[in-house]
Amino acid sequence: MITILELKRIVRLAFSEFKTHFFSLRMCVLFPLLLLFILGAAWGFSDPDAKLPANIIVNSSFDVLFLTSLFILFTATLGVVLIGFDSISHKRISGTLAIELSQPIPRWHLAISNLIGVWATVAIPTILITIFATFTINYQMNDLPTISEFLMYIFASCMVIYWYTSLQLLASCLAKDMGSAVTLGVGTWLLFTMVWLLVTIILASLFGVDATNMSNVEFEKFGAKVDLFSPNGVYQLLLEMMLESEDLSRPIGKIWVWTATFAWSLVPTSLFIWKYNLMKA
Amino acid sequence: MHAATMGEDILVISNLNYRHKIRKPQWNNPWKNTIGHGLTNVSFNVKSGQIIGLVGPNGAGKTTLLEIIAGLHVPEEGRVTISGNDSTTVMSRGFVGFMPENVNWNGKSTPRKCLQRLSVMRGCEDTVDELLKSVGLVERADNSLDTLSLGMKQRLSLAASLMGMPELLLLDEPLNGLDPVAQEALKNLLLNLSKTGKSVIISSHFLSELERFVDHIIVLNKGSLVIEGTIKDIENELNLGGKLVIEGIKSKEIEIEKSISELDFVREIEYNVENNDNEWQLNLRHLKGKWGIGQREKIVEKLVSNNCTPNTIQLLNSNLSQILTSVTNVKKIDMKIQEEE
Repeated sequence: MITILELKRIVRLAFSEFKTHFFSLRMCVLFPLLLLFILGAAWGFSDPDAKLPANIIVNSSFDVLFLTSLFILFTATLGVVLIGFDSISHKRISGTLAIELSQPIPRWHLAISNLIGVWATVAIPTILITIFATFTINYQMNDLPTISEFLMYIFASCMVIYWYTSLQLLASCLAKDMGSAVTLGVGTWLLFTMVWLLVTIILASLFGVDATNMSNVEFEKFGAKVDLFSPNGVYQLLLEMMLESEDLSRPIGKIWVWTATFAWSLVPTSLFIWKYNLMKA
Repeated sequence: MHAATMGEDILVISNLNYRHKIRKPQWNNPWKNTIGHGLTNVSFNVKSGQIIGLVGPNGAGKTTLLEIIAGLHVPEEGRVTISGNDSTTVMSRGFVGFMPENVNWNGKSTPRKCLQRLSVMRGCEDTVDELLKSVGLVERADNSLDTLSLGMKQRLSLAASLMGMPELLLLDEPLNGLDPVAQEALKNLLLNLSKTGKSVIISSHFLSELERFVDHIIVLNKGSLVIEGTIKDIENELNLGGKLVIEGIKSKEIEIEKSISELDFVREIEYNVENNDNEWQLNLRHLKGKWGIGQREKIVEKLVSNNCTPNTIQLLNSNLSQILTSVTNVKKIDMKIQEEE
């Protein structure tokens, strides 16, 4: 399979990739955004005097974290798209990819190191800010999430960042230039983040599900199923499994959520590695 | 991995065929590809310690050939083996150092960091400082890549290809952007590497520079190997021996033609007249490729006896440029700027 020496090499290459991205100008813009959105949301949602829209009732610290996850979907996933869009296409255009691909290292090792490097650039700050956000919630509500809730939250957040990383690097592999890479990446992000509800409604109409009333149980069930095909949806469903409040969680079997998690972790990554192996410098 | 001993075949290419696939998406088939240029039936061997010059006109397939040897493309037909390993294997890439053409190193990273990353891939992290020193980049080792000149970027690419001291160096246009001092240093470096049994394949359009240190050339044209061998062998094969250039004044063309036709060992290749028919230049070649003793004097005597006035006679040896022109039939390209009416 893979030796310890090879594993060490992958980690070292991933670390070098991480350092390049983490100390880039883009990260100077992204980091404050992550901080403001995630920490700000946690502060706002946990404020006992805050009046939340749509009659949302916050009972526990995990409810606050769940609502804050919306901002992870906006900032961290977009961050991955912006950090990773030229991870491969830039190297290809500059000619350094040809040098890297001619080195005596299996291509999939390079692909995995790229994946880990870009993922860690966004995932590590997100985890750290989430820890701070949890303390902020505790300060406001005097309530901490349980260990399992907290670990699930971190796991789900890391996974959604990972899924977007693999999708973005696949786009960067497919695109011949950086313009196409960013268009593919942002396009995918827009589809899953902004347009997915519209996709769900269209599909619901096609399948004869009443989409005029979004709070009916039939549409909720259908929406949860469609969400299995979106990384954002699976992220939300993973978190919903930990919710006590029935107002926020949707009726879908855990097995489906875990299957989708597994599929989203495997399919885009496999496609990316496959494409990387076939790639021409 | 075993290092090839002097004179042993390090690279064997047999019946290599490869065609580029060019994406040509259509509305009914977004993934449609068309077949582009490539390489056709290329075969040759490289022995350890050889320096091979890879020459050919633009689009001849030089870069494609180097990329295939470097393991970047998979041959469609035929076989490329490096020290007995197929070029598509990871093992074979350990024997090869590849310097692509015009690598645009840019960004905030530094030459040292770039080489360190590559050294992790090669498993030779302790050689980075030595490499920086050998290409003269020690003083700029920690400067941003954006501040490097074209020549420095070329030297960095060269350092990257030298990483791990590979048995076979593939250099694609390494002389581009190098100043004369750096070109000389590169020449010496390659000669020294050759002495230690390392082989080099160097593609370049700087033919006059190339012929100073390559001991074997391969000419590619339209994806095919046209001719290979030492410059001397090719000169003999193509009958491109020394060109004799005779210049003179005030002579009639018919008299010059008569003089030459009386000599059975001469082949006239060009006759030019300048300055209102007052000055002329005659380019001659020997029928057998090499001028014999006293033959040049015989030409002058013949010209004088036919009332021609030769002033100078000069023997020019053939060069790579002539070889290239001869075997590829590439004519002079006349670039004109359209004048405004």
